[in-house]
Amino acid sequence: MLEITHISKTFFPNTPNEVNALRNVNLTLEKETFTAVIGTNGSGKSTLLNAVAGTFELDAGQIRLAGSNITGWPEYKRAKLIGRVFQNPFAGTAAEMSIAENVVLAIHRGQRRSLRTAVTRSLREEVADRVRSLKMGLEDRLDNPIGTLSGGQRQALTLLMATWRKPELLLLDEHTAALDPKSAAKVAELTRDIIKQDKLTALMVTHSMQQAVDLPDRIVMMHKGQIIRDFQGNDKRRVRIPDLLSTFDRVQKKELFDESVAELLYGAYA
Amino acid sequence: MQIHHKTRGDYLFVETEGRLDANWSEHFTDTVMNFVREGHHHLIIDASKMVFLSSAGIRVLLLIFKSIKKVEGRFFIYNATEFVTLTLTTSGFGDWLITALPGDIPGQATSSMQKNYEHFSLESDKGQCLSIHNAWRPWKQVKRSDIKNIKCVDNLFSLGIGSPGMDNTDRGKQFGEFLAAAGHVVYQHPAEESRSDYLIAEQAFIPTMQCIQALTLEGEMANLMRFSPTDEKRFFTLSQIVGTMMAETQMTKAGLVLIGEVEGLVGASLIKSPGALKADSIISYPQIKEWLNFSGERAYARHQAVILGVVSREPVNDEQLLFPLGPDSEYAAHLHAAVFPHQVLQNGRIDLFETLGQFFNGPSPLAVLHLVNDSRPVIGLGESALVRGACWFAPVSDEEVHA
Amino acid sequence: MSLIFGAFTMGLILSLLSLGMLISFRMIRFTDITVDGSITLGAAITAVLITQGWSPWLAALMAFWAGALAGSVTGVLHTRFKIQKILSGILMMTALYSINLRIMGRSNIPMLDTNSFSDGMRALLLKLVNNADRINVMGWQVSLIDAAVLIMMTFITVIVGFLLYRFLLSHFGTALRAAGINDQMIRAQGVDHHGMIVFGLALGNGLVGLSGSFLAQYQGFADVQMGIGMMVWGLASIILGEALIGKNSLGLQIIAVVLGTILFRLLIAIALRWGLNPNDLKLVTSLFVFMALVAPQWFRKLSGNFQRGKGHA
Repeated sequence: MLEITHISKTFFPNTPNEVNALRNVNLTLEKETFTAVIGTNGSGKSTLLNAVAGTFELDAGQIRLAGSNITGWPEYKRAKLIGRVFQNPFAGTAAEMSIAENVVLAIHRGQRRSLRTAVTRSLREEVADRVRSLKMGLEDRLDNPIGTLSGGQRQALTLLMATWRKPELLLLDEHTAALDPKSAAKVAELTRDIIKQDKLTALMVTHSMQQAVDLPDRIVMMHKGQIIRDFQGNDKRRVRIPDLLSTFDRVQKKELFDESVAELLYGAYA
Repeated sequence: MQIHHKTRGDYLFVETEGRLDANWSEHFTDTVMNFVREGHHHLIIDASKMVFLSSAGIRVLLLIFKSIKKVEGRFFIYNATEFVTLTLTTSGFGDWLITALPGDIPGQATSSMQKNYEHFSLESDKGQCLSIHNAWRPWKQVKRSDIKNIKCVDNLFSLGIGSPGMDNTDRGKQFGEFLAAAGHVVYQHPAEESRSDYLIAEQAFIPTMQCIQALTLEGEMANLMRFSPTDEKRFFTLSQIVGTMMAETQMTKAGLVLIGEVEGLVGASLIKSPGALKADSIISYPQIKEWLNFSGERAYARHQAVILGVVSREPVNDEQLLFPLGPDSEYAAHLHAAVFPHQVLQNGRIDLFETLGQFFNGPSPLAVLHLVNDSRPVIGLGESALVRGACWFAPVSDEEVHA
Repeated sequence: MSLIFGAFTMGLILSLLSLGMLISFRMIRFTDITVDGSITLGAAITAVLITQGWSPWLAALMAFWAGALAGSVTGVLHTRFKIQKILSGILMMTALYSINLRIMGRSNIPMLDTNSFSDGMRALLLKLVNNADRINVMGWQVSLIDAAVLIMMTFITVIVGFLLYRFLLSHFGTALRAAGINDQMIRAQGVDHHGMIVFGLALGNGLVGLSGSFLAQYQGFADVQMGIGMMVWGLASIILGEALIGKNSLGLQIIAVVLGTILFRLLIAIALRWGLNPNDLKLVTSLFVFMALVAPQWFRKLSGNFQRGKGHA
């Protein structure tokens, strides 16, 4: 489904701020699987997601999605195949426009925009029906500007919008991080339900280890622009938060492991 | 909330002033459990100034009560205010309440709190037989002939690199550090990052380790040395403990099992099984990072460790798998530590088998480390140290080396 | 009362400019200075074509396309070459000054006795009032030609406003509006937001060009200087309309812009009648826009102080 091969990206090359955000990353997602990416700050997890979304050009490597080589596609063209939810609840919707108008934009994601009236009566009914499933009472507020909703409501709606038209790939960029704990839990639950019901292929960046353990089928761990661990199948089923923590711990220890430590241990393993 | 404490005979007298509620219960637990860790197992909580006690407060009192009950500690609440008395009696904890101070506890070794070390001679005075199996040397390919099966029976103490099980399948993949003390085995699977595996001998089941390196001691432990902190001396390094016990008993080489509360452990462990070596190799930096994990800090403070090994006054000896014990120490040693979550260790003369049983029936072990003296200048972490504990040991009277 | 009548007519003509700016300033949120050049461009092309005998309607259409072309160049400068919005507009406006001179061949083209878009209506009116040269509108005597222009402009404005309204409510128009509010969101919905900016500027400046065409036909000349300050006037009109009618819905917003433009022309006419020096007009307009932009902040601050004051008491 998604094949990422040997991708690299350096931001601000040849400057003091040079960041090797992605270093030869390879990742393949199978159809109808849900993968979480976790990692420390600056590990490149969001960069990986943005590389797939197409917000910047890669230095090297290739990305294939649903049989197409999308490496050179601009961000808006990739949107034909990809649904996205952002970390910031304000990023995924147009605040001053109504709920119905926002949804109508998402219904035609990646399609030609005609000159027919966008928000028709029959469309309003369709929108009301689906929005009712969120149980947030939004179906009665279809004409209210989306900016009047709470962060949790906006994020739930963005999620619904991103998946309204079944995407080949759903990208979730820490989409519960900016919410209060109660809304975050609700959006996480909704995420799991939608992905399960619609049999979506999803890639989620998360800061929450609990979420990484609870929601997806697979956990990919990143550190300094590389994938350092990949829990799949049986490995994933038994993994718990302490395992994730100690994997990070071990990576950090590996970084402190210098030649003097090697010298010392040669003495103890002689 | 204010907490003051003073020793009163065999008891530690803890004055609490203020409210013991959800806000303060954590602070209260931490403070009191620190006293317990230092060896104060008989507590009197002076509640004459405790103005309020909530259910959260009762919960932590019960928690403290339970943990010291395990080590036969005593727990009283003295001169409680009317409110506290009412709360406790209606909750069914009226038994804790006293209005008169209890006398000294009969048969209690009161001296233990004032001395750093206390030595007990146990019945057995036989020496132990040490056999050293060092067929595999880093970083050679493991041959089938390198593997020695060790049955971990009751009078056997062993440590080294091995893999549990008796079958020959798949074993090449999982050699890791282990220690076996009187039928209790803790083994570190090299690929496992947050827990260790363990096996306990029970009736017909005797755990077997397939070892490529092992130091094995057979026989009884003849001595017990207790060590506990005082205001002047807060913790004990391994070379201090070993130095004291060897000097007191005038031994030159000994096997030991040490159970105690960790101040900090420094050590390493395999994270890739030597069985994965495809050929005899020289693993240099940085490849070594893929094979060994180094604690990188003084790790596992406030945890409990079971340390097992051999110490010797003879010089460092690769053949016998003995390495420097500590800075300026005249001893060489090979020690493995199994790390457990904290449990309270009883004071005084205690039995090795019972104590091991208590540990292995509690929460699972977290790691096995090969303890290392980090002697690097300036950045070195030093050697491992314990706050309080018990060390069983016996002289090595007979030894054999199998290459 | 020809003053009020003239202001009305002028307001209707310039409301096309304001509607164009509604798209660029309010919908795609692009501070577009091209306007000053593209209104002149529309007038220049119209003047040249009509004096060469083109039909006024065809000339107006060409003015629309010319404006659209200018607008899209500004859009490409910004989106493709990453030049700041303001600077892209300034570059295009400056370039248009020379282009307009080239088109006209001189700085002013008079259009006396030429065809105009109001000719048909004038003929119709002539028939209706039996060849009198003035008609009575609510007790005022108005020249026939002024009445014809006013009627035609009312029609045109209503039609343009309605089409614009339908357009903005369409799928395409909704995407255009969203592109101005949240470009990240609209890209994620598969819309090329750069394309939307270019399109929005093209449509906006096309309307401005159209406005220029009608202006030239009404005034009877095209002048290379006529565009100076038009953007600020348009902005003032939009602000005035929004302040009076609000922008709660797209329909209201469009009506607000048209009425705002007319009202603004009326205010100017009245100010001139009361003796305002025409040379000061642009300064006064700028002050007005400045006030309109700053006043909301002041009010907020004032009410903030007031509330703090209450807190103390």
